[in-house]
Amino acid sequence: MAHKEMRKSRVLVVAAGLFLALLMLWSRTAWLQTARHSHYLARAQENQQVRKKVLPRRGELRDRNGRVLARDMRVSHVAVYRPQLRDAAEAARALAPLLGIDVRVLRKRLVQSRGYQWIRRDLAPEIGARVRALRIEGVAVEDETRRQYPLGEATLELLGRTNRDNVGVDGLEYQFDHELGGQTGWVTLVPTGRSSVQLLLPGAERRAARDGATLQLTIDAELQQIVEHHLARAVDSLDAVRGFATFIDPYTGEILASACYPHLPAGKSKNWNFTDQYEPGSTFKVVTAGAILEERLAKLSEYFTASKHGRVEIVPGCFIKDSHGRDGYTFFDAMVQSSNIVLGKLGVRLGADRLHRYATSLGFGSLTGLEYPGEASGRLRPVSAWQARSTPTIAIGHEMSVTPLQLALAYGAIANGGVLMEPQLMRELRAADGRVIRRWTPQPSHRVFQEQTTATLSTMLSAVVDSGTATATRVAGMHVAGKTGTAQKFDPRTRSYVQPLLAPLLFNAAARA
Amino acid sequence: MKRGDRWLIVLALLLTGIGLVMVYSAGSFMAFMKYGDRDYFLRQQVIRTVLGLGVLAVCARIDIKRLEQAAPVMLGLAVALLGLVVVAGHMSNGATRWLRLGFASLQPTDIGRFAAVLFLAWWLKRRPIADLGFWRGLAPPLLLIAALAGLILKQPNLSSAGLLLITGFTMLFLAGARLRHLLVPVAAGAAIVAVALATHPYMMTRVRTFLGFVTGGDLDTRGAGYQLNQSLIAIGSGGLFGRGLGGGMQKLEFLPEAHTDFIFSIVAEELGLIGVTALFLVIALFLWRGLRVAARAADPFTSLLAGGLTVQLGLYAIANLAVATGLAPTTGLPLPFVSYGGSALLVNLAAAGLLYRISVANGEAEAFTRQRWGGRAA
Repeated sequence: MAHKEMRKSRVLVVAAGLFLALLMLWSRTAWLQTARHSHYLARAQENQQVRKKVLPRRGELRDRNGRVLARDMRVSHVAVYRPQLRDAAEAARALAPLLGIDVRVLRKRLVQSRGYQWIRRDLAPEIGARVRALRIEGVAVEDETRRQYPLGEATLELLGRTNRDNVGVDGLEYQFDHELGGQTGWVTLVPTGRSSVQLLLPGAERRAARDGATLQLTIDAELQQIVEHHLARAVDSLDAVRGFATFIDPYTGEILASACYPHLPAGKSKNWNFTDQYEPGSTFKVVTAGAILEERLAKLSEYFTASKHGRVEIVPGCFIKDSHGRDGYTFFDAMVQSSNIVLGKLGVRLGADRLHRYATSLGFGSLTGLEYPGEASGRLRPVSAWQARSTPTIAIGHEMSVTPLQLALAYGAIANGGVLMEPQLMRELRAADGRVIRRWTPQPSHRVFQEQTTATLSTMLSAVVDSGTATATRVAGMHVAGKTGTAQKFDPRTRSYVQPLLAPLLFNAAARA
Repeated sequence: MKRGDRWLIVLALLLTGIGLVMVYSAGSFMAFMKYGDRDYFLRQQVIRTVLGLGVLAVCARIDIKRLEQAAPVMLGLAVALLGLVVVAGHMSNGATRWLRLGFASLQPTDIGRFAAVLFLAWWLKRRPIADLGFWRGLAPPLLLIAALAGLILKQPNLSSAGLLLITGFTMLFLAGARLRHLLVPVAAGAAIVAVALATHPYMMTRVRTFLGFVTGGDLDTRGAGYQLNQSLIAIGSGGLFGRGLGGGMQKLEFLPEAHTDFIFSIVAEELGLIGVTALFLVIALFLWRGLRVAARAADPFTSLLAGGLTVQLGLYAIANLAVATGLAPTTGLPLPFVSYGGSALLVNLAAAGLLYRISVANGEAEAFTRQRWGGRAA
């Protein structure tokens, strides 16, 4: 029995040893799982998760009738990774019919390729899927989105463009990039330790990609194309440096078409209608005339002397001349024949303050609020900065600058019975789920002229077209009114006004008649 | 036949059950990637468990006298198998440990360690070392165990050889060897470890990794320390409650051998400290019941057999857990009952069966004693 007792005590020693070891191991595990938990959890996360981007679909741009102006198109690129490609000849045989490349040419390219190289880009996604289904090792298919503009270069200056990453870089694509671009989604995938497989586990964290919103414009695609076509013909036939045209609906302020020609490459192109400023020249006389009428400072029949030859000193130091001189004009005729001398005199009669007030009231010298990147404000200095000669000069549209859009809006106000409208280029921004994010409606800005004044102005401008300086713009069966103007552009090269630019401006009141 | 200590069966089956669940959880992804069948490992393990239950049932009813007589034969068989591995074994992970039997592979190491315990109990009963002194008592069984360990080391499988030596050593201690005599094998063991490390580069790398980690706390996470690093991430990220059963991420090919040697890491990741504590309790309870059987046995053979088998299971568990938690150099030892693996599970269930059988015998002997002394027995 002594043996048995001894054995019992020795079993106890062994048991103590085993349990002590287990206790130590348990403590170690507990330490790892509590004190070091956050450390290892972070390590586990960096180990086990990759975030993969889920690209959203960029929203469409549409014209006022719902016609698509810009849309996202899925494309596939096919690439080869030479080190993984086993049999170039066989791969070429399988790929050639899908990619539309001659087998021999393709084989040669595959054999000569090094590293990772594109074989064919911008393929239809169905072809990409079929290439992928071939499961050729060393041949990769990458999907991407490309922006497509169904009207081609037309509307380029309006819509802008996106870059390779489908981010808007100019025009409306840039202005509404945030809304159009949507929200990139992501999903956490689990890369497995050694193989290249990435797993999408049921509990994976993810954020769905939110497709971009659709932006509807006030533009009429058809009108835009017609305008662009004729503008291009005009610029080409006149050998002009450039041309631009904007159509607005005077009653709503909606821009129906806005074209520029020639087209500059994406990234350099801008819409000169909004971004460039010119001396308005004679087109600005309508402001002076309108102010005179509104303030009742002259009757239409009032006679003003002018000069058949040469210049007239309107205020000391300020000489103005007419291009085709007469000894004098009535107020009405002065507008129809665009007499600088008479309008300069009227400007002086109006006075600097009132001239400035009416010009400002018509929106000159400040941004119109059109949400278009790079819009210019034009230049209309405050009266305090004017010199004695400024009043008559500005009255005939010099010593200041305007954007074509500002001019269009001001003329629109005349057609609209004296109420200036805010310009409107967008109609509706609608989220991918159909919810309307933002809606633009015609906004009257304020009344500038009494209706009676604008009626008189309309008559004057109609006469300009019927018998004045703009007879070339007559359209049979339509009531056209307008005003020509010779703008002057400062040439920084020669530091002088050397490049006269013809900027005919029409406004069409036919709808009203 | 009297009833034995049923805890032994229940706890062994509990561990095996945990093993089945965890093998499925930890191995299904790898099985899918490797065989295209996520149930592969589970199915294999279920077959082995069914076989193992049969073995357990047989062992729980075995005639101890006959088993004792068969001990030398068993050892001979084990030596033969181990020799065969050296000659014609199947190579895997840089070591030759398996015998391919066509339908299954066998790890003779498992049979060897079982036979060694059986034989040592047989030997020590016949030549009680407490009475025989160092040369006649301690040296012969020591040399025998060393020789067997040498065969395993030849595979090479240092950890199993080492555990076999420690098991033998503990049995000598249980058999009553004098403590100063036991210092000799300790010294010899140290020498053997040194030689083995010097001659096997892969072992040295692992030990160096381990020492670097223990002393400096840093790991070569891409090289030799990769596995340990991934294991620690699994355990540490589990936290208090774990990611939930089946929710582990480290088994997705991050942690190699997740369903075998590193199954504990997956348990810790998925079930957290709560699950780990439960697992430790089950293991500790099992060891306690096993050692209790050894302490109560009157016959030296059954006592030493029970002690040896329990210690062996305990040592495997401790070594496995120490590797997984980074307290021992990385080696391929399974967690008894839990890890995926055929021969080990069969042998462990056989051990559980035998422990139960011995507990039955203990009960019978105590009942006999009580009867004889008229209820005076305590």
